[in-house]
Amino acid sequence: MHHSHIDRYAHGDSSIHRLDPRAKFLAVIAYTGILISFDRYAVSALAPMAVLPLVLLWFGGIPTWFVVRRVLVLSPFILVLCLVSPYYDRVPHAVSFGPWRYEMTGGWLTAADIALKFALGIMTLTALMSTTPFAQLLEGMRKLGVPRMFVVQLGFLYRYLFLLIDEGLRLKRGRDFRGAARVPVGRRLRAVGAVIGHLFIHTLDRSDRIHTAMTARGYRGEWHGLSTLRFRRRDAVFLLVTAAYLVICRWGYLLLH
Amino acid sequence: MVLAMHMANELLSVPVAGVTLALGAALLVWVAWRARKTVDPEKLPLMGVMGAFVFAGQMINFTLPGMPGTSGHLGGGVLLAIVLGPSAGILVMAAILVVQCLLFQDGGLLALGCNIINMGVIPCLLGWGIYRLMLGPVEAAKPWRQYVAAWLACVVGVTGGAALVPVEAAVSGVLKISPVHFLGVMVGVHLVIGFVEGLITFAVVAYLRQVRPEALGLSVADPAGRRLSRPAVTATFLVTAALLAGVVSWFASSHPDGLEWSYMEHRYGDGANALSDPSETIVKVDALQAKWSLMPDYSRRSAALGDVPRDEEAVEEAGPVWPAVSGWGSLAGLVGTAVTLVVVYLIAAAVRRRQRLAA
Amino acid sequence: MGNILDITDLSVRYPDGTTGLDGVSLSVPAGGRVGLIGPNGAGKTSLMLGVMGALKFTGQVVVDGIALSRRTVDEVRSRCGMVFQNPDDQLFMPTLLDDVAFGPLNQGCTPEEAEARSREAITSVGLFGLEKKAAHHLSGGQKRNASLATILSMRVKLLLLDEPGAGLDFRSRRRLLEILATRGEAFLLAAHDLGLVRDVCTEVVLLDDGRVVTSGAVERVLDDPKLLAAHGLG
Repeated sequence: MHHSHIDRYAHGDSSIHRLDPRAKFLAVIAYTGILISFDRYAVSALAPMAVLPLVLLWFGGIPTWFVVRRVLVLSPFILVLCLVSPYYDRVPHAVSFGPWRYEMTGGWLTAADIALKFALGIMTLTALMSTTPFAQLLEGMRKLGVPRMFVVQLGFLYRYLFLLIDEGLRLKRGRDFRGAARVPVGRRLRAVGAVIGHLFIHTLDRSDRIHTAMTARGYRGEWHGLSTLRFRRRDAVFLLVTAAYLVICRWGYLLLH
Repeated sequence: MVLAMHMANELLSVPVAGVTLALGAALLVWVAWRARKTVDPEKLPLMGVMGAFVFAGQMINFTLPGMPGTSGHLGGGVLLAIVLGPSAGILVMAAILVVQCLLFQDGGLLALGCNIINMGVIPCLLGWGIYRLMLGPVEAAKPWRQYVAAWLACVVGVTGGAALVPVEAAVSGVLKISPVHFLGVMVGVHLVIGFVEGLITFAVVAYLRQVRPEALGLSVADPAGRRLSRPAVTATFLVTAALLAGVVSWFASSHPDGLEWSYMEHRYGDGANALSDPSETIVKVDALQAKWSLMPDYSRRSAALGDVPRDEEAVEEAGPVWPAVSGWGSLAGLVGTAVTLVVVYLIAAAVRRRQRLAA
Repeated sequence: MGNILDITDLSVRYPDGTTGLDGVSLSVPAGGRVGLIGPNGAGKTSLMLGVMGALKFTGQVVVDGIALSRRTVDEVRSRCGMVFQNPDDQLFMPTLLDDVAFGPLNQGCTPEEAEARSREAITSVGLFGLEKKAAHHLSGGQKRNASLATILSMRVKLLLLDEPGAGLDFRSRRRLLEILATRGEAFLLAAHDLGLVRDVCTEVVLLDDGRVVTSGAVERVLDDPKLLAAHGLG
């Protein structure tokens, strides 16, 4: 099942799970912004940025292997881009690390920088999504100002995503089992068109039925939601601490002068 | 085959991310307002369900004959624009991109603005524009015309959106790559992706025409669509296409640093090169390029073709000023972080154990 | 008047021209439990959709004394609720609690009231603890009960149940039976499962080809094998 990795840990219980989704979401946005604001050659300065994602993951009880696997699975595209840098950037840079000094081209530094930022970014996003049920995150986003209509759309997408993916998988398997690979192109293309077209019509009809169900329960175009989120003191504390932490990571080096 | 390329956070600078996010949000607001004219406002939220359809549709892949290992699939933007209209199409694509980012970590959080523009706005708008232009009045359109229009719409829409990626990356200045090369690769790859997606869209449109033709006439079936005059359609398309083409070509041709970089940074000659260039392959390729490239600097060659040029421009790239931290500083930073992490880990483990016992 | 539902001469025509219902008349007394049986295509679902005001019809439908018309459709929908055949069409919110609260919120309840009613309804169908679950995390039987909860939270007086037992395993079916047996609302239950009808209903209406063939006490109708066989049942 596709949803096994997404929703798997989101319904757990931990201090991180219990934080308000708004606090977590804002923290992750701020973190990501600060993360990408680091200069592309400042690789070692990124080290302290590893603390936040790991705190979230460890206190949230998310297994490390799960996160590592996410990073690895998602990395191919970014790795290709990283590895392009050394070709284009040959400017040598002196890199010093404690008592060791050596030379490296800017390109390799950039490659390491991008790769590291990518890993940290994914870890943090995974931490957010693994400690926050999606529905709760949606409510948090709405309270933060995302237009209601869009949030409702996201809700519908989420709700029917897995159902539709399963349908898509079943149709794909049905097609594959009937020896799809050996059929001439024209017919194969027509089959693809038919499957997707059928899915489209089916979904269109389904959304009509859902609309009927909605109107049967009194829907008249206006959306009302339950409000189950409470912003507590600990959420404010979390935000403040994170903000301070990010400031230190990013500009703390200035103090080292 | 690599899936449609979502933009990553790490390739963007904060200002570019900020601008594209703001632009993306503004476009979404505009599009949401327009969508109320083509889609029953009461049914607007149900567009989310169509988003789920796209995910499902993306599982059905199609392999080009004679190119084993490459299989393309539906991106969705253009098909959605064709059947739901560009406004609804963009809304659905935006929802899809948000879900892909959050649930599948496909595409960065701060890159959402870029992604919404590259993979939502451009394909939907451009694709739909081409489709309608080629089609003329929907009721009278001959089948082959409709199919070819759908196919072409995909090719242009997908490629157009992809062409913006190198622009966004170059303006951000994080990834050191020749923007023109990047552009070339992105456009090249996406022409193929668009080609295959176009074929799939072509096939879907053919099926719908047979089984549910009203779905295709959707944008004309309601009064708002009928009021849509050809001049209006043409104008939208031309403006978008012109903007896109203008941006990309300005970027490619008159962007001075673009090409200069890759050449100025190539240090020909032995000394510095050997030290800073660990890869033999790169050296060889480089040497080959230096020997045979006609216009290494778009201005002149200092040596005759076939000879290795002398090291003429030892230009040190003036990078942004980062507070120069001594080697000890960075070591301290790393050690400090490691210690912090160990402490944090121990606390976390203790807390978790206590929670488990209490539960 | 003791009838929660009075249908007189109801006729429904589909967009493609075929007749869905042709002059159907039936009644459900307050607190009554009426089974609606008939072969596929007989018009059972159309009848229910008609009562809910989701289909164009001719004839008269009176729910709890209110005659169904374009003006009164919202009021009628506050008095009767339909549990669809496919729960996936009816559970469309990200969490169960949101789904069950959807109706009450539309009825004008405050969020707190709606939440309270929803929790009550969820508990009454045996799904306590699953409030925060998304629909795709629920089993088939749980989804069916969840569908029921979405209507119960609206405090309707009449339930229209479209094939509630379809696709349920024995245990889920029995649980459903228990729930239905203890509810005070009147209901109209469309089912293929004659055993379910026999267990829960007191009266039965047999529908075929858009028309009422016969109606009466459960025992009389269901114990007539020739009648059932003639209409594709049993």
